[in-house]
Amino acid sequence: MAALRIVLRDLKRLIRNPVRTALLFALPLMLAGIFTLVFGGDGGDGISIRVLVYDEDDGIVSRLLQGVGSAPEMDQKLELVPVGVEGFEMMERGEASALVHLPAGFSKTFLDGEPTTIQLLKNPAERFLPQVVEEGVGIGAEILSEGSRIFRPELETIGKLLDSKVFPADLAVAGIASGVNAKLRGLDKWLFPPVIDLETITITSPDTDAANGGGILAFFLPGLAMMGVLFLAQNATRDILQDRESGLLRHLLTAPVSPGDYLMGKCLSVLVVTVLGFVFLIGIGSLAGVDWGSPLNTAALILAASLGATGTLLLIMSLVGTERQGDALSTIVIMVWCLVGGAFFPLSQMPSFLESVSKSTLVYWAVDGFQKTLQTGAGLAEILPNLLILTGFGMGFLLIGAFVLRRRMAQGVL
Amino acid sequence: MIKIEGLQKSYGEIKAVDGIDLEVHDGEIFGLLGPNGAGKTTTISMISGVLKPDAGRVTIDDADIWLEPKKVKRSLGVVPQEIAVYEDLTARDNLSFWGSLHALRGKNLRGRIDDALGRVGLADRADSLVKTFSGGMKRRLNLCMGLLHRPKFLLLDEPTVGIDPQARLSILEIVREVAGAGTTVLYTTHYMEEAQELCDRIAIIDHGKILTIGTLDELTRQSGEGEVLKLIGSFDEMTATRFLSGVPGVKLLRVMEDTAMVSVRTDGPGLLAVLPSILESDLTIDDVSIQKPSLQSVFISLTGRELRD
Amino acid sequence: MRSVFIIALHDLRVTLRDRSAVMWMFLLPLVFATFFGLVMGGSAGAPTDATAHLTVVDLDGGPMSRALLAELQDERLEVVELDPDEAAASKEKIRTLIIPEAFGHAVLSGTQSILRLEKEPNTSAEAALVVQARIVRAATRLIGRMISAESNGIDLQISGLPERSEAPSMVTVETSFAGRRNTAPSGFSQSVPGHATMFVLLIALTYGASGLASERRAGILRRLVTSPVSREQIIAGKILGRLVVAGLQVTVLMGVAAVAQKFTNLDFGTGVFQMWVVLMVYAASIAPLGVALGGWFNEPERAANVGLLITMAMAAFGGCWWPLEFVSRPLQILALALPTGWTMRSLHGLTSFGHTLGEITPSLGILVLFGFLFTVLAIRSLRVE
Repeated sequence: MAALRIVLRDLKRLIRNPVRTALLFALPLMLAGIFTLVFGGDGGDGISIRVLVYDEDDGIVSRLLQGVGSAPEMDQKLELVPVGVEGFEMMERGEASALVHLPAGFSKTFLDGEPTTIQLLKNPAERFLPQVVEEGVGIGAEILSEGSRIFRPELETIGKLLDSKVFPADLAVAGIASGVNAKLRGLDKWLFPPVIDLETITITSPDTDAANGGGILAFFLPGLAMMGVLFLAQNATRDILQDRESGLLRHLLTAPVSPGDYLMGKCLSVLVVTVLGFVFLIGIGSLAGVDWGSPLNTAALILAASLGATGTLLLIMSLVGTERQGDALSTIVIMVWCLVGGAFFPLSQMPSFLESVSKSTLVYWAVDGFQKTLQTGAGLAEILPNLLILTGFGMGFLLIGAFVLRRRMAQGVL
Repeated sequence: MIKIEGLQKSYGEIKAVDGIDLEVHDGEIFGLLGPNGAGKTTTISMISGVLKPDAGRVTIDDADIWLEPKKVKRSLGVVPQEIAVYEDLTARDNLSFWGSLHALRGKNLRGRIDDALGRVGLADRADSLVKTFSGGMKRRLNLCMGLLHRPKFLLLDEPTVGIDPQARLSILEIVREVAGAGTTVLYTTHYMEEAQELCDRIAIIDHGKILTIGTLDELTRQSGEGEVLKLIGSFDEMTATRFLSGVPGVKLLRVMEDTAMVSVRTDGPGLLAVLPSILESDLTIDDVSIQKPSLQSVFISLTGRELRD
Repeated sequence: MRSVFIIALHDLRVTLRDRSAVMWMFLLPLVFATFFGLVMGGSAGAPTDATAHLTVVDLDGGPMSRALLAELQDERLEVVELDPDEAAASKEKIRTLIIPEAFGHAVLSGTQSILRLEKEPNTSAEAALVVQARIVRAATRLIGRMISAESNGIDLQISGLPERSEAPSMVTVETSFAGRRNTAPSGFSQSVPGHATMFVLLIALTYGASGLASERRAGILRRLVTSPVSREQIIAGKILGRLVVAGLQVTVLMGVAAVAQKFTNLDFGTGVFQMWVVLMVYAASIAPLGVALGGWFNEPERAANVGLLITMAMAAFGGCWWPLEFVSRPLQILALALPTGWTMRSLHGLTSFGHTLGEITPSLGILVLFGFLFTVLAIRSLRVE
């Protein structure tokens, strides 16, 4: 009964101080918001690559190349900006992903059948987008090279015509056109449409609708929720040390409350607070469109992960002397666990040597459990190892923590 | 000399300090006595330059605290009501910081620190972290920080709040010593006994106004009150008020539920004549206590209530 | 002036007495920077670009699909070939190219065959674009080989695809990086400046703000006012105090970076000293923000919490966590409204472009402007009454 009163007192304190309680939830929610804002719009649709084009040549071939770059299908992903020589300075300031430089005489050299070069200047502060540009320009170069071989006679004729001071006669132009046309007809089966094409799709599991608006949020929220809940448990268990430092604990023990009652009350209250916090964060996710998969799995994971968080923090607080030491130690454990446990970025991108480190954290097992449920629609049996580990360690830590605290209280240290 | 003229400070509608005038003479211990919320801390804050008054001025040795703040503050030691110390630092670290702000340095500073710590009985804890101190020790350190630069004027704002009697005595003793060495002390408190024991002159403040100023004798004489009788019995307020107002040589101070308080006027027939007429009246009186004329009775006669109200 | 220094050095002493502050100042930035440096590409310092992973499932298995695979191998792709079953079970795959059955037959007969690139959910969209482009490039080369074989009169149906001709390409692409560096930055070039920037801000806005709020709550600020120190000196001392703390933090962190650069193959471009200068300017610009925040809040815990939230938002949107190439244009513009954004821009100027301090002066100038703005906020917020 006394234990229940302690639980009620703690809940009341959370309600009475709404700003403080809100701030406890603010961090995971804000991080989830940032991640969604930055990484949302899955599939790279939101990416636009800014490319500067310095066409020093301004010839027939260079203009043809630019025309390909600004074709409608490329338009969404490419932002081509025509520049002069000032483009180099813009690149120095990091104002674009790349600069394509078509040097003076590019068209003429090409038409003459001489090897020629396109210069590409990449932004060194970016890793991927300049490469995309490089590949794109590379494809253009491949096509030009092959074209140069296949249409050599026609290209040479065009070159001569352009060189001559007089305007080309209709007949000459028609001759070239008919030659090109004949060759193109021969290439028809390879090129129109291209004999090899590529389609790109993003895998979605049958149980998850990645397009339901919660796609990226679903990916980050379990880890961030776990982080939020760990901080919530930190805040709640810190009370034990605060009660001691403020003399409240001594006062409480003069009432008909045994140390056992007190500890049981505190453990229960931390557990209730963490479960409520978890439910709140999961609920926010649902409102944002995340489909959490099996409700049974979600409920079991919430309970198990909350127990894990409660046990971990109780154990830490039982080992330290003062509130500040408790704060410092627990914050390190929480941050490191979240870092290596996959709260901040996908476990799949973790270097392999960190995998075993990752698995030694409860954050990993919670995140992994949620991800299995979310992404692959796993059933309860499949997340059983996760549940067992979270519950087992949670209970174990809780018991050890409570035992240590009980002993310290008996010795009058606490 | 500290001279305060027409000092006023309001917070919205509330007048925290409402036109205070007073002078604290060199070498005296001057007490500012009043209940919580009377305006003592606001007054001290304005004297020490923390709070700008809405009107009025404060001069210390003829220098205006707002016109020549640095000059004045050099001669001023302030001991705030809060224990304004760094808990994560040692006592010596704390003193060293405050001393250096008062331009003390080197050997002089170290000497002063040892001296000041010795004076407040903390020499053996000089290098301990303040957070390990008891409440009384922190209060003494708080006091010590105001004394370090040997100020000419010392302002103490309720320096004994929340500590045990022994620690309180020790602080009062230190204040006496400091004053004995020539420091002018302005001491605010809501403890009647402290003001009575310690102060040469006392001002009683309530609702932001000074009600009276003088030595203890002057105050009791001024009020014209003798002993205070506290009557406890079973009577209704109306009957008691009617009866006691009519007793000659007695001033009714207050009637509340089963308690009535009257003071025996010094210009009347005296206690021995008054007491039987009260006891033999129709009022059922179970208990009578007689209090000698004191600040308490002066306060009650001025405000109609006890200080702890 | 002496009082200003006394207050500032005293603040440093109080901060260093707090072990958790020391940990957040020095230890955690190193842990985070190392961790994210390794995760984001390590220190290998690939001379040009990162290699992308590609799992290939070849359902055709004929000479034409092998030729495509050979072309893919040339494309700086880390190709892992798996059976369909292995691929289905694999958890390692990030993106998978499926070469359909009868690919070779279809291609040789001039019928379009569609390669399928399957991208796992929530994997890097940018890396997928690179891989996509490389596959198209390999396919283009393959088609080119077929066309040129046929134009030389070879019947592909009978004699198959000839070996690649070694004829030089008529159009080549000459690639270089802007700036003076000839190597691309490693993961550490992002993580070290990023985390230094974030943790300097974190200390200023959490410990700085909550420390000041605690001092006011304990009455220490009031007591300071009663000492012969002017309000201006107190505010200057408090701002300088945050700067001294941040300066020490920056110096230690950059000291470690310098040692790491000396003994490992880490490369921070123009130099660690220049990074130190940028971070010191940044520290000076954000120090008053910590004071302003401390002035706004009466409860130390609340000040620290709000400081933490502001730090996280400024770090994320300023490009401390990931290069801004990953974010949309509006968010890239948002970075320009933040001191973290300008700091990261300056630091990238040094580490990625190899710029000199002179060349990044405009960015540093903007940081100084931020410093003025925050100083005004600090003066307005720091109430001592």
